[in-house]
Amino acid sequence: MGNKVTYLGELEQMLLWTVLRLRDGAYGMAVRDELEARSGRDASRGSVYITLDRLVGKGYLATRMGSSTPARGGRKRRYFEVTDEGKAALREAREALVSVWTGLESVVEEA
Amino acid sequence: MSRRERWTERLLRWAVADTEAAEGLLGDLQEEWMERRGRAPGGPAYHLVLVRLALGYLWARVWGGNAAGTGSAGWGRDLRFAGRALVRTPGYSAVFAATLGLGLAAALTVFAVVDSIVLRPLPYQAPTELVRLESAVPMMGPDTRWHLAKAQYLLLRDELQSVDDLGLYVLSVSTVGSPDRPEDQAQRVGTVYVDSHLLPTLRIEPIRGRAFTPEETQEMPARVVMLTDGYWNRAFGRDPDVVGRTVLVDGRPLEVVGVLPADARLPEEVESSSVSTDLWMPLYVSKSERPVNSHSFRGVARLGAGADVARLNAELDRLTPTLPEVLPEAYSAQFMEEYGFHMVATPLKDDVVGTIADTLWILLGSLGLLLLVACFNAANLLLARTQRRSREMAIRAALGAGRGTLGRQLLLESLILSLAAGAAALVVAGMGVEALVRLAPDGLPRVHDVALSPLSVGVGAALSLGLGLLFGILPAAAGADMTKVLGDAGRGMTASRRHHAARRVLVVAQLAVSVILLAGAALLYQSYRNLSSVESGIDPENVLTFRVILPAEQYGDYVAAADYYRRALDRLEGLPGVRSAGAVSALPLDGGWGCSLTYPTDRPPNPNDGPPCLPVFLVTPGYFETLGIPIEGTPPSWDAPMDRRLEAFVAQATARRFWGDEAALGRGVSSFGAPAAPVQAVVGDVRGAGLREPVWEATYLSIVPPTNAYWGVPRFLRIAVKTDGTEPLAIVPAVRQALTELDPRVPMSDIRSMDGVVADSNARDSFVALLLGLASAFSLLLSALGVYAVISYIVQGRRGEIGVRLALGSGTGRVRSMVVGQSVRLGVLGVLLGLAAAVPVSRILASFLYELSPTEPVILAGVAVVLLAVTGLASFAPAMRATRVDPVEALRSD
Repeated sequence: MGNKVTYLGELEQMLLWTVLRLRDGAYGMAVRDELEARSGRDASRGSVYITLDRLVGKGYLATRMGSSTPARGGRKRRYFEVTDEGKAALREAREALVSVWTGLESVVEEA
Repeated sequence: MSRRERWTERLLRWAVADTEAAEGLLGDLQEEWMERRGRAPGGPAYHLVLVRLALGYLWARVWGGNAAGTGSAGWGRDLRFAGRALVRTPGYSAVFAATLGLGLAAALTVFAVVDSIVLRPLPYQAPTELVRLESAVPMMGPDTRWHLAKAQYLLLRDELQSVDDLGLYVLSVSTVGSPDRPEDQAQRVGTVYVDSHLLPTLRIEPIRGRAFTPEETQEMPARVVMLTDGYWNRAFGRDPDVVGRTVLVDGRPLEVVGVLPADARLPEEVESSSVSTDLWMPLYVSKSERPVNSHSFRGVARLGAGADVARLNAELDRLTPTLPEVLPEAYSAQFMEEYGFHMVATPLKDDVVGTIADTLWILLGSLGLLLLVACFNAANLLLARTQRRSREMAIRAALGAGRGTLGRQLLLESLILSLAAGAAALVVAGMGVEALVRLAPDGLPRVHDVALSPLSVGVGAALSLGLGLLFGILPAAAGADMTKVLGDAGRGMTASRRHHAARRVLVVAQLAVSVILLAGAALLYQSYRNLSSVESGIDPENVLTFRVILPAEQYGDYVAAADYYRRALDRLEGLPGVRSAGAVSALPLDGGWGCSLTYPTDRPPNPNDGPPCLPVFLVTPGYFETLGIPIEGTPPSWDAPMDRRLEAFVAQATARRFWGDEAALGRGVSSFGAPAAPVQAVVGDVRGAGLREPVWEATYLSIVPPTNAYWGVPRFLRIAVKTDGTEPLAIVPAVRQALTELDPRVPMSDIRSMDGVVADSNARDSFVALLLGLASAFSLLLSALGVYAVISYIVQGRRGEIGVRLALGSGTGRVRSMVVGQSVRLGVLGVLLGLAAAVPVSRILASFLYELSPTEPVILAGVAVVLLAVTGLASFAPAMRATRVDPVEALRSD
């Protein structure tokens, strides 16, 4: 890894969007619920948590620990936040997608 | 929260590896459970979720998903690619995996045996605290040990500070029967008499009832008995109310007071499956008993906190000199001096495992060498394959595959093959262990416990993983940079010279190790042959042997017992196909004999050299004839009047010791303080202590004039029956029927042919020679394959040159000898290195060899010739191929 931006996988992109959407409330369980609600697909715990951690490792997400609550057995929430690098990666991914899409909208719609 | 969930949570934390991430994840799960299920997390579902998450994290970590951009897709693709590459070359894959697999299987098989016998702790609580207590009598023989005497044991109980507890026992056999049905055939059972301290010392607790009280060991005869789990099951069908019932042992009713747990075993039972006890009875140990110098009781002690064997031995050394003062009736100062008598403690495990540990380590070393040869062979194959693939690799590199990708693929290929070889090796080793146990000599300790243990499975897995990694990295290390090979390959040159040199080195190493193995195997085989040709002094052919046990109740009287043998032998000699029959107190080559102080009566023992302790046996008429022992003089006869004096028959060696060249007939011998017995005959010498040992200086006393004053009632004689050529084991049913007709209460046991007894006595030598022979044969085969592969490759590389030579008129004979010569040069180098190593290595075998020097030149020369012949033969096919090179074809393809 370095300063070069690498391609984002589909799940990685969706998770970054979801974290952005949840703003201050983006902790693991909420991210998974939101992703399932928005995409209409089941997302396994493993893939969500491991991919979130991978995005942290790539520097696209930052984390902070919240306060502990009794409902969590005294454990703290771990909130995610998209970093500037993450936002740049999302922009680039969207631009790449848009440029690939350009001029093909009608074809897809016909089909 | 249950312990199991805490354990899985710990697993997850470990897999996640990041404290905060794990905290967040576990908190989320808790929240999810409370919110969606309304309760705290728990139960199998939660457990499963944690394990799956942990496996997911581990998978991601191993396959590099976390940080690098490649993700797991890269590895998955490489794995598929590696698999395909291996399937494309099935021959290579199969030979590589088979070579490595067989090497691993052989090494693992023996490792499993070493682990089960030598490494695994004894099946007791805190087994390393247990020690064997014995009496050493160095003047009888450097390693001669007697057990303990009762008085000696009682003294040790009072005096020893460094032990927590000590117990005493003695093994025996008894007959049991049911009091209600005396007509039932008597059953022989293994028994042990134990004092009240043995169970606490071994930390064995009865599962029913109780152990013996100290008072019960003060009663004679015993009134109580404990059952082993096996006997409880067999005789009482695990009846829970067995305590309080009665067992008829040797005709006496004993009350059952307890049942032992299934895993309660005496050290002797741990050592050998041929020792098995059914009934435990109290051993009479009392301070009121007169101290006797009779060391037949086995002692075991448990070391106290902080004590060790050295400290215990120091304590025993301090106690030894006090014996003549404390127990003057049993230990005279003269006796102590004559025998060098003292007491020793050995770790119980050393006592159980015995000297076989050395043999097993040598076998393990040999099979380790075989594994080494297999690895050299596999490395050789791998290098050849890497060279062949240099073009493929170069092209892939040119198309953009990085060094990392290529390296990873080679690593995966190697790991797949090694792990497959490892898995197959474990299966083969499982079967190998079973086969080995079946082949193993009778005396192999703990052999019934031998199995492919978890440790050996772990070692096998670690070895195959390690070799997989090693072989995966090797081509990169030996083959320099694979991405640069394209230039060489394009010019049609054989690839790197370093590869070439590496392969020659591997072949020479293989040959050298094979020399070591072959020399070891040849030495052991020759030693075994030397041993087999030793004159045992008996003719074991067509002789059946078995033991009878006369119940004490009916045969408590000497004359009754002697009469039984007379009638039994009479009936046996009347059976069709039987030539003669006789009985003896201990058979040659079968252990179980002791010695007694024996001296000629016309030459009283010299107090300075002390009377020698020589083997003394009780024999019936017919014994010498049955075993083919020549006799000079009057043989024992049933017609001798029962009121006559003892009759002695001495071996030639005994006669020589006592009377030199003078005639022995008519002289007298005395043994164990018995009155003088006139020598009736001199009989042939028998190598009864073992074929490696000197002949017995034996004295035989005839059963016919009563010898009971000194020898007790002969209730356990061995009977030998000589047939007229009929297979001895074939007459067993007739023998059994004849003896049952005579007295159904007398069981027969330990039925063996005398040939079998002799074979068992050198079974250890034949076993080791066989295993080493197999290992060296396999090593030789692998080396031949290695030579063949390398020479073929060299011939292939020199096709052009050979073509030119043939075109220029060089004869095919010269080309052939050039190729074979190249191979033999490798062979000579391997043999020289191997011999240089074999000379020091085979010295380890010196103690195993019988009348053979470990550097016997004939054997080493023979090994060298065999190795050179094999290398020559292995190059024969490539040499023939070389002569068929078409010069035009060879030059054109260049």
